[in-house]
Amino acid sequence: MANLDYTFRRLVNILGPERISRDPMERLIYSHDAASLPKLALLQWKMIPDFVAIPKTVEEVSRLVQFAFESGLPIVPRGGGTGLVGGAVPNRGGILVDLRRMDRVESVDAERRTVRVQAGRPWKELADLAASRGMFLPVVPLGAPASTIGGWYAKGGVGIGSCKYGDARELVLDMEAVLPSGEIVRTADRTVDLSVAYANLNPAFFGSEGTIGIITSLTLQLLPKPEALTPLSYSFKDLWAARDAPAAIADSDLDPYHAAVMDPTHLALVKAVRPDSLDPQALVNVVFEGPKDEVIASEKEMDALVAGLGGKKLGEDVARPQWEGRFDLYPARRISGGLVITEAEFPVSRFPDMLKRTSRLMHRLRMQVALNSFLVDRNSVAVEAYFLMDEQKPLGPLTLAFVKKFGDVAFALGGHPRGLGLFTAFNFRKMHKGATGIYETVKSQLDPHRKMNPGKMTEVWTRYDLPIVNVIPPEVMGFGLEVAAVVRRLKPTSDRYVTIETGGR
Amino acid sequence: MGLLVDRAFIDAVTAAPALREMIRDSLIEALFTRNDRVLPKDIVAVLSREPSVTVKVKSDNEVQKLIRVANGQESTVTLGLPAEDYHYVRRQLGVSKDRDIGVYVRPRVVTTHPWIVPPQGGIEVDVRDLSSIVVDAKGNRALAGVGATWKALYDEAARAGRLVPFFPLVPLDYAIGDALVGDAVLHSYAAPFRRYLYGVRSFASHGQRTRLGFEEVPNHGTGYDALGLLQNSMSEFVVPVAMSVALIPRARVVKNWVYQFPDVATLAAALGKLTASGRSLLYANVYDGAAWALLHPGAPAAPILLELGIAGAPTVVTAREKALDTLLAGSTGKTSDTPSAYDAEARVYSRTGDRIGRLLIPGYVTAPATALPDLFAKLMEVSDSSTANLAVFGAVRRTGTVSLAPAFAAPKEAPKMAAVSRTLWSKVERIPGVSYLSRLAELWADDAMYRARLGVLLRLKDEIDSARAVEPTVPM
Repeated sequence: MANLDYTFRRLVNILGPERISRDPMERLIYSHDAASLPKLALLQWKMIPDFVAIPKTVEEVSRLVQFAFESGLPIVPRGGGTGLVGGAVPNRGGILVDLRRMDRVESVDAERRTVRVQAGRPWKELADLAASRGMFLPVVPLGAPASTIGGWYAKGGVGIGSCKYGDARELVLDMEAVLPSGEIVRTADRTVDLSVAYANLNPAFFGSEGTIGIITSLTLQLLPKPEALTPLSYSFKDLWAARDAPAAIADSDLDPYHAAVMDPTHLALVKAVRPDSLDPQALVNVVFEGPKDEVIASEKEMDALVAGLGGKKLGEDVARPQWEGRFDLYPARRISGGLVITEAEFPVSRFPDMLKRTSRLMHRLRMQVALNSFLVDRNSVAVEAYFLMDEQKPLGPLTLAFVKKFGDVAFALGGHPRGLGLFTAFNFRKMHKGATGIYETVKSQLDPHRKMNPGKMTEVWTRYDLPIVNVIPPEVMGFGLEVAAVVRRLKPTSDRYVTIETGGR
Repeated sequence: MGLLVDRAFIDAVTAAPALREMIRDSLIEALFTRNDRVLPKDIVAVLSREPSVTVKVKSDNEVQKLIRVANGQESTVTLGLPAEDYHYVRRQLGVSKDRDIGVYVRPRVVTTHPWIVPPQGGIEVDVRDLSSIVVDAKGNRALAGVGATWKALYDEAARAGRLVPFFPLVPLDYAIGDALVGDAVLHSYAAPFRRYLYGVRSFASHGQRTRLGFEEVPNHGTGYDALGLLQNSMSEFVVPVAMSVALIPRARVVKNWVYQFPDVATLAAALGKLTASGRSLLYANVYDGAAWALLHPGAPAAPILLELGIAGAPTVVTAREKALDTLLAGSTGKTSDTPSAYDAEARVYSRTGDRIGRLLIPGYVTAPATALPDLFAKLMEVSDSSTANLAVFGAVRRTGTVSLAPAFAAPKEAPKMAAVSRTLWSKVERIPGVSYLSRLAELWADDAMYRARLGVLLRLKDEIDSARAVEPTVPM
């Protein structure tokens, strides 16, 4: 490996001094994503990058990648930093490539309703731009204001609008990406209907978490702007009372744009930060969009359906702010030193079982956890479980055991946890079993020298480049969290940040 | 056989000094049409090979055993055959000879034409008996053997009160697995087939069970979308045996409406309005009069027809009907009593499929709805120049694109197929925004990016099929 001063000079030659940084404070900022981790993790991983690079063009990205190969440093791409599993966090330092300055909209084709945009643009900005041109970006992440186009695709994006319009895969016609060799490729032919296209590499990058290449620009399919969009909110006594709502909505002949279930604990946590917000209760938020006449008819049908389940319709004064606050779900972050969010997908028919098992898990681990869920499609529901973690307290980080246990609940009920990255890569083999070899092949063929965001997803590297201690076997990582769960169960008192008067679960 | 094997073979052949002077396209055509007068003997030998044995498998385990035999993990003894058959199989397979024995899955129905390079000996697996369909208790998904027909799945779902949300673009009697090992295009108005395909059970070349994707939920945030990556050439990487697909609830009201149009220009304008309206549909199929007559002999036809599948709550469908009638105002008539071809009795559906299957379908053309008049004009030119009557099957997507499968009333012979393919390709490629997708065109395609992508897939194939037991590439 080259001397770091020399490396810095070479990097400056590529991007200029103002877009390369080795400032300690700046590098520290890039040493984490939206996940909270105990400081102890720094013993295991070198999460602080050696350099931060901010390219603006695909050629610059290509030169950075080639240089990383020459210098022997790992290269880690990063979008908005909204990931939850350390996908954009280095594990052995190296060059962190912040793509947020690559945010240009290159072209908009109004006739074919497509847009070509650089990967670093946030989803919300692109959605706003589409709306201003009379078009509609139908699917966006929950973190749309910060989450970048390329980042969310690489994360395996599913979010608001997926219930009706599918996931990020269906939006993307074509991408430009820089492979670990520095080669710039187009992943598909943008004019072809991709359902029948041969040699389409788009899927390889979906969920790749930056491990096989850096997405630099994408061509996305837009839709016509809907005539009407109506958010609806229904209140239930508690979360258990709303247990059948997701399956009932999925099983109906209605076609909601988005359908979410909010936990009273979540609303209580929000209220703790924003006293004027809604009182804790279980909420089912449904959104219809489309032609006005159909939206009106669908609303009436939905009212009848939810009334049959025991839900009470709330006014527009509740539904509208709920919809407008859809990207701001975690203000509770301010209550404690850290907030941990873990995600999983379940068959919608197992939603009540998920509630039961998660509730049991929370009691066992003496934790207070909020569950927000939304329909992914007619058969699946995504659940975001989150809890506050005070990493300063001696037993605080032990709550991370919940992440492992919640993933196990997902596996047990026919679903899977979401996200692998650095922190939850121990789930990889359990997820794919006999197919793990295929995934490892994708990595090894595209990145044979293990330079592109290495030691993640399919394996977990430590910061030490020495035999035996260079890799953490997934079983060991999982076992460590199992031990944490056992210790956590010995805790005499439960963590309770908020009290819920409705009775909770 | 598939794209990668053909492509690798053609690349190897064009590297041969004797053939360097031949233009690549001419060579592909000579290979495709089996022009033995032009091709060297060793290439003719490759093209003339046949599978050594064809095995009709009845269960997953039999597929696994066959792969293990092919990759050398098991002896043919363990196949449990009677002595006579055992010696026959051994002799036929050429066991102990220094050659790769591949396992090849034969599609039930091929829309266009088979791939160029045939199985090189080895075992052809007939999966028609892997046809079980299990709809889960809640009716959310179905686990179907790759040999189960799409129609059987559709009927089974209907019996469970559910709907299969994807439909064949050309109504042939496909096995559901033909979307993975053949060239069947399944689609819906809302989404490509991939949205509804949750997982595939398969065997890899080392004989281990390999599940791509998941069976009860889609894959998000679980690593590369390996299923999507391999989907269109799956049998070149693994041997698929069953697929888990999403079903949707059967709405209280399900309708099939057919709108007649006087010409393609009026249809194109109507489709522009339809796809801009944001109305949800199950399917939106386009037929010309000839295709409609094939589907519904004796039913009143029109120059061009649009068939819409509608499902929803009664009040929503009422609102939608009024709106659609307004949007499609250029139509000359509407019928709501013609049942969809999908709803026909299985035997009738199969017979219709046979009728359509006899036509020569060179490939699929995808275009924005606005380009339809131009496209139809070019198709007519091809029909005239090849003196073959034309029937057009098509499907519209919510995105505003239309995929067409032109079917010519001509014998499905390789020279004719090559000629029609070439003419069609040369004509439609000139229309802006139009793309032509055919297996032959995939072989013609030679731009650098396409080659780079194929290179990646070939490298993946070499590694994933490291035992060279799943449709191995053919060395020259």
